[in-house]
Amino acid sequence: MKLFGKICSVLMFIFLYAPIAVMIFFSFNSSRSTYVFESFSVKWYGELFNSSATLNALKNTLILAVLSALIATILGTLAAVGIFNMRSKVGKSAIMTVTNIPMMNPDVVTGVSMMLLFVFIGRLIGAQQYLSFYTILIAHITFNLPYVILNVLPKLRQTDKNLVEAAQDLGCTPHSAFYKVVLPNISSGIVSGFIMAFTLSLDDFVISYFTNGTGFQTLPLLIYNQTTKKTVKPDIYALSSVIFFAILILLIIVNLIQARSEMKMKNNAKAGFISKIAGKIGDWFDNKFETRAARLSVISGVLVVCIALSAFGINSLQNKQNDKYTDLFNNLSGVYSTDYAGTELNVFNWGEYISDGDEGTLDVIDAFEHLTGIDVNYDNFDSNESMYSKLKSGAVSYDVIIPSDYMIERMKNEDMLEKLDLSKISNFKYIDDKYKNLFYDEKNEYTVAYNAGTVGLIYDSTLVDEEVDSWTIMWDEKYKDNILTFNNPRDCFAIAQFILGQSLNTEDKADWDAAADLLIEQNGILQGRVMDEVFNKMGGGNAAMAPYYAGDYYVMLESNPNLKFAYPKEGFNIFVDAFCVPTCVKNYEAALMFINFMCEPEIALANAEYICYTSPNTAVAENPDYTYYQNEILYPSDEVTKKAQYFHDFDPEVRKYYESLWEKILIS
Amino acid sequence: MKSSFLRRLINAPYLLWSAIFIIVPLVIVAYYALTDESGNYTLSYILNIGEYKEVFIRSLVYAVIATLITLVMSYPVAYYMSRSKVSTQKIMMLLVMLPMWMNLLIRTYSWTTILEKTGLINSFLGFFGVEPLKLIGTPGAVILGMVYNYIPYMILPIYTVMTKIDNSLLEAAEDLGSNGWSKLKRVILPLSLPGVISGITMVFVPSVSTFYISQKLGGAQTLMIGDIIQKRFDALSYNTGAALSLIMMVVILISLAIMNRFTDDDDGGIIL
Repeated sequence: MKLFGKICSVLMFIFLYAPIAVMIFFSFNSSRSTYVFESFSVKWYGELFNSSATLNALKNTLILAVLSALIATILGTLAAVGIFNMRSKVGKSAIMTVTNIPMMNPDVVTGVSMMLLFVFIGRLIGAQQYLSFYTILIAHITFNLPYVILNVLPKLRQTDKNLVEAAQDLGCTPHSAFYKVVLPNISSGIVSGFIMAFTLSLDDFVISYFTNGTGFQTLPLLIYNQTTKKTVKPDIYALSSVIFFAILILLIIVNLIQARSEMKMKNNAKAGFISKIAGKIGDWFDNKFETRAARLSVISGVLVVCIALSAFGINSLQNKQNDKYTDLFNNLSGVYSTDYAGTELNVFNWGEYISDGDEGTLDVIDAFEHLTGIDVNYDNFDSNESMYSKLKSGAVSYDVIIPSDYMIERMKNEDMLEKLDLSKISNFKYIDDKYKNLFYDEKNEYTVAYNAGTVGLIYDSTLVDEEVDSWTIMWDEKYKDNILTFNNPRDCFAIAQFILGQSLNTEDKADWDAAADLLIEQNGILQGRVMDEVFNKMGGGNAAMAPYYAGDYYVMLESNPNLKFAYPKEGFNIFVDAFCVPTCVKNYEAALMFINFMCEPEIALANAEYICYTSPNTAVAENPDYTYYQNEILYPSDEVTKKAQYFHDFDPEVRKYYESLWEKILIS
Repeated sequence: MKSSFLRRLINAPYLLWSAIFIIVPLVIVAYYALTDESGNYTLSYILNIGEYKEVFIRSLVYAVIATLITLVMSYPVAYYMSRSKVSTQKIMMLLVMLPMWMNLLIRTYSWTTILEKTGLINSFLGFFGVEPLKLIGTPGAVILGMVYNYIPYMILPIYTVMTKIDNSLLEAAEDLGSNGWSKLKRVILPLSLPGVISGITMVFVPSVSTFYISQKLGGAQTLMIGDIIQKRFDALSYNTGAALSLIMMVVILISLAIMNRFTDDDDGGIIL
């Protein structure tokens, strides 16, 4: 039995730590991949300090965790005392049942219910932007409360009632009896409640996902965004490794101090060096702070101070390096006033859709902030639909958004877009005429094109040894479990529609049914439905083929040189993503300034190099130094684009119809 | 008189808080589940749930399997831990808790590196000329992710209960002629049941409602109910989303109620 238990334990720990070991190992990878180890490097640890997004998220997470844990601890301790003193049994069990709800309920339900509450209140009072830092804080306090209460209550039960009475007999008021007798007795419960609340808040993802507001991204949310986006930047691995070792060391110290008393009792002369030191520290600590309660409060106090200091340190780290853009700023043609310094600008963009300072690239947002003094809150979305939902719900407000063509059409028709004052966007002159006055904005009043792109079939030539020129290969049994496809309805339907020779914008339900049938047929041989996970999958040689955006092919090519790209003969989708200002804008002038800045030749070039999509900016496309200058895939000839089709918007009925078909495809 | 008034007052902030942020949100979920987009009463969202029957069944089956595997893996470890030296117990406890401080998403994501077609396991097998196995994108991978993420929640409560089992009880059982198996069955198992029950609860609930694990480790056909709820809310279909949440909540409550019949836990019921 003993041996069996031992073997099980060893296996268990291997199981528990395997992925963590993998994570630490890959944090030292010199390349971006989290699959293929190239060579040893510590560069991601350096990147960590340059990545404003990661540092910001860390700071937010710490602030949120400390605040929510503190408030929950105060409120929860009061509640525990109150509940303990309640005389009515029914009332007591009722309140305990309510307390248990957030613990017993799945996180999804808690998150969703809080969000609906905020939606409801928001609609009631007509607030435009009802999700904010405060909503996520309230949500965190709410799910932290039960843990505090359930840590304090047992301690209250253990407190001898006679002690309290004795104190009162000796002249204490009920008040001072509480402070002098009860509080010291329950303080260890309060501290462990606080630590638990802090930990839970630190790690929460699901509830934060539903309740966070504009510009407030926590670490788990950032990780979620990254792991569903192109690639996980290994700096997240580096950060997690740092956190891992910090906690490990902290826990070891705490344990050593605790073990010391036993050591002292045995008076073991053979005690190791470290234990001796720990013992010394512990002795000093014990003499200084006599009660266990005082010790625990000091430890947690020190922790809080450390966290506050690191948040502060992050802040000052971000504010230094003021003069690194001098060269760039001298070249800028436009005039950027600092009239809006100190104001906030909320930008809502696709994930990894801007040059972000990663690996020596230009940090565009940071440069803009330095140039104008405007504070940019930069958030990501992963589909047009989710961006639209967020704005439509009124949960958040943004000043600049970057939707695609058909979504622009819909938002324009629903009066969700503000007209742009193009006289203030002087760099509009650089936009290629091909990308002006398109169907979604015929008079070009609402948009400035940011990127264009096409969809093609990317395949791995080591796994596919035939010439690829048709979408039908994605139905070939030969490639069972090696085929990836889009995880969004329109792109996915488009492939079937091309094969069936339909228009992408058909309103005929029979057409949609036929396409859905074709897609259901494909289910059995798919490896998976992916969006930006495709980068890791194709880049790592884990799948034979995937339809994706042409520009992204070049990003994948960096990690897998065997990849090929084809424009299938049946046709393919072409799209434009453009800057727009939604009607919920709060900082219109700064928004125009930002759009103009993004069209500056240097900035547009940095973005085009980083994103690898087709740039509508002539200053980029005609620059011979541009990596993709006259590239055939990014800038296909008119002959090729003849077969391309844009997505148009549908009326809600058609949309609902194909969305219900999509759900059927997903669950069948 | 004064003190009883104070006593009531001390509860007031919490009562108010839990009413507004616990009770009311659940009422609102029910409200959205039972009304249509323009706010009229309807049962259609609840009745349409049949469409998601397969997803519900799949979620329940995966969660039950994951919970059972977790239990089987945790039990011997918890037993071994509780019978070790105090210092070993402390170290093991630390090792069990430590991964919980790491972000769940990042730990789950690390598994993809291990399980992918060109991942660590398949590369290793490749040395022996074994064809790459399909590991990722399977129900097995999703269940593995659940087991991995929630196993500490099973070990800790069982361990806590087991440390309370008096060694002299076990000795008495041996003296009375119990061998290993009957000792386990007649003494240890019954005494550790409360820990097992709370462990099951703490693993089952997050497993059945997860939506990240299935997205990262699952494939085209491992969609879970949590995924659907997330998608519905992302698409602004609050009513369907609320109806699904409500039904999931009811399903979980029923499961928990059935489970709680096996134990007579008092209101303390929290582990750690």
